[in-house]
Amino acid sequence: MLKLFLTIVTLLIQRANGNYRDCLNLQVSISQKVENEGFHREINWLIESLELSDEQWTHSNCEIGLHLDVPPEMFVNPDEISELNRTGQISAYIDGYVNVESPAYESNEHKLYIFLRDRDIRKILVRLPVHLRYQRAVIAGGFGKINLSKPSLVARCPIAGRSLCGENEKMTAPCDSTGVFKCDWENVTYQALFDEVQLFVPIGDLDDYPIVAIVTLLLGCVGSIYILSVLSTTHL
Amino acid sequence: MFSLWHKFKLLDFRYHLLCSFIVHLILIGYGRYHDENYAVPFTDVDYKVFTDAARYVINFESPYNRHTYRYTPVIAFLLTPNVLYDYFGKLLFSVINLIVALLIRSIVKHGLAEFESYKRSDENKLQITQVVEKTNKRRRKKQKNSKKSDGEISADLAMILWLYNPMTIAIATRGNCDSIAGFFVLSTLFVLQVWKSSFLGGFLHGIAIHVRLYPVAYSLALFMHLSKFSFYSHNYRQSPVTRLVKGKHKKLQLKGTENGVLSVERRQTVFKMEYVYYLIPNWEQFKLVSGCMLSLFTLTGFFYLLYGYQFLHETYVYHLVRKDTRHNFSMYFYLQYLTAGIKNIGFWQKLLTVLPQIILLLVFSVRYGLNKLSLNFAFLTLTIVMVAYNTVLTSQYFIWILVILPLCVWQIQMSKKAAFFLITIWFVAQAAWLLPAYFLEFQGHNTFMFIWVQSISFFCANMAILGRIIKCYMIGKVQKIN
Repeated sequence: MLKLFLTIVTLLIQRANGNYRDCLNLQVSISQKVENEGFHREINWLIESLELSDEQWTHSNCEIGLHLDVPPEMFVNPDEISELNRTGQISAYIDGYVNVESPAYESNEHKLYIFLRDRDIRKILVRLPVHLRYQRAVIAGGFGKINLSKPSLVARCPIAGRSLCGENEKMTAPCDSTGVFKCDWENVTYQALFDEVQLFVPIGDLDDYPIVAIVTLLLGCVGSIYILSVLSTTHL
Repeated sequence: MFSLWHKFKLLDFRYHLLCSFIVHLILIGYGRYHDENYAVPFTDVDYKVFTDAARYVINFESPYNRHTYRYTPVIAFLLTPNVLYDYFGKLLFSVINLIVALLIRSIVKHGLAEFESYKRSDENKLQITQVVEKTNKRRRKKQKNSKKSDGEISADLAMILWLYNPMTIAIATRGNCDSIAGFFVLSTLFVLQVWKSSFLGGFLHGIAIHVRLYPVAYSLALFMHLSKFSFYSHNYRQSPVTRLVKGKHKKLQLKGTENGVLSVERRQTVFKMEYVYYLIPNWEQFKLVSGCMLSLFTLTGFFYLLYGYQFLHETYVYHLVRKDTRHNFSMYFYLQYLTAGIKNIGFWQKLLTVLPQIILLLVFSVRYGLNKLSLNFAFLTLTIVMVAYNTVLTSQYFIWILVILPLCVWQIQMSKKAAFFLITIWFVAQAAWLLPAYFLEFQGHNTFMFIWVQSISFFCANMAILGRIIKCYMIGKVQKIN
């Protein structure tokens, strides 16, 4: 009797875990679009997974995120991110010091982690505001190039016994937008439905230097002389 | 329309304060609604910084733990209630706006009364032009039945100019703290001119410098104002009595000041070596300087002990060494951008960038500082020079001018048409700058050269307006007799 009971319980447990004994195959595709022109852009990512149902994904308790290396020529504004975090429009953490005023040649790159917990993996839209930095002026001016690297898709399944398919590269990154705790994530491959993008930003023309220097400095003096001449012809 | 405006002017000043406060409250309420419903917030970016810094202060931590907090800790201390009531700061800034309005009213009223008493004094040789007399007669007729005097109407007009200015209302209700510095600048003027307290004036001036660095440029004008060589008007300086004094190098007593006696040893015109003597402090000047030093060093020392070098760096050093090469209204921006990152910038470039400004600041401080009636005008001209010649210039800096301008409106004798023309020029020059700036920043077009050209025009507009204001200063009110 006891033997029969144990067999039934074992079968029930196996049935309940039936979906998870096998690994979780994400099969994610990402498309990317950069909107707006000038110094203030918005990167839109559309993350889709047609293999998993919402139920499967929810019960797996796994979570995914995006990891972006932001080059020195651009930055993600920490104040803007904290505001988006506060209003629930995004859940992100910036790793590294960001000076929002410094030009590209005096800046360092930083990392951005976007956490997509509790989102329906079948279709997730992520909007990220980014800003381009001033670049050093060059002869003939024109436009400076910024290579926007592809984001990495990271995932983790914190509950024991549930895992992702394939041998993925392991990495340590913050667990959530607070950045207090570190977690082990796996770098998951995805199908990129976009090419690497180059962004363009206007840069100053060093050929303008002589005329700009002469006119600016002279005008400063002329303005001063004009005011002094007005003073000399008016009484108190 | 005219009678409506006339009635509006004659309203009791308390109604204006109440109206303006209601407008402030409505905008604070709207800001709350806007922030909750729109992507682009109404509230200033720094307002959240203040609140975060205040939170650190409550937790006995440094407000500078909040990155981009670059103000005196006083602001974070003042805004600690923000942690519980996030609209408190905006309410405080709005109330400060009203206090500033009252200060403007009092200073103008006092200035007008002093000018009237000076006009009546026997020693001066002022002549009120017939035009002004006629205007005054017309005014008197109009206001026969009104309870307000001419002086009160002028003072209320100055106050109205501040109270209903959309920019000042927007700045306070968006949570920008710039009106606090304005408040201390005006308090200094009020205490020095109305209360005649040099020590307290200096004390407040020290606080103003502690809050924001820019009022330090007013120091020389304040110092000159208290000089025993200070005078009332040009023709007063050129009067026969003065020449006699100059000839004999003898101390004389002249009428013409508020207490009826003015000590005069020697009076000189601009650009004389004798100005060196003006720098030797008298007792009043000593009180001014000591008051200033006391508040400035006490506050700075206290916060240095609390928060260390980080306080000095974020509050002062950062603003001094800041090199923001991004496009702005300053005509120096493109030159700075082109030479950014170059270590060996020519000496001449550095010199010619700062020298014209320093010369004007010195001349205005001495010329208008020495005239007892024109201390406010000295502040106005100094502020315009500081703003126009600043190497980084954004709209935020215009509030420095807007605080002082109402004090001098009664002194600038300009026709409405001319005033309207100058204001139009100023706004058109700004708008003309905004267009290429928009194409650069939001459309990605390379318009650096066009922005520079427009910033040059804006500088020229500022200089032209300054020149015009100087020409119209007290003209028509006072005319020299030869």
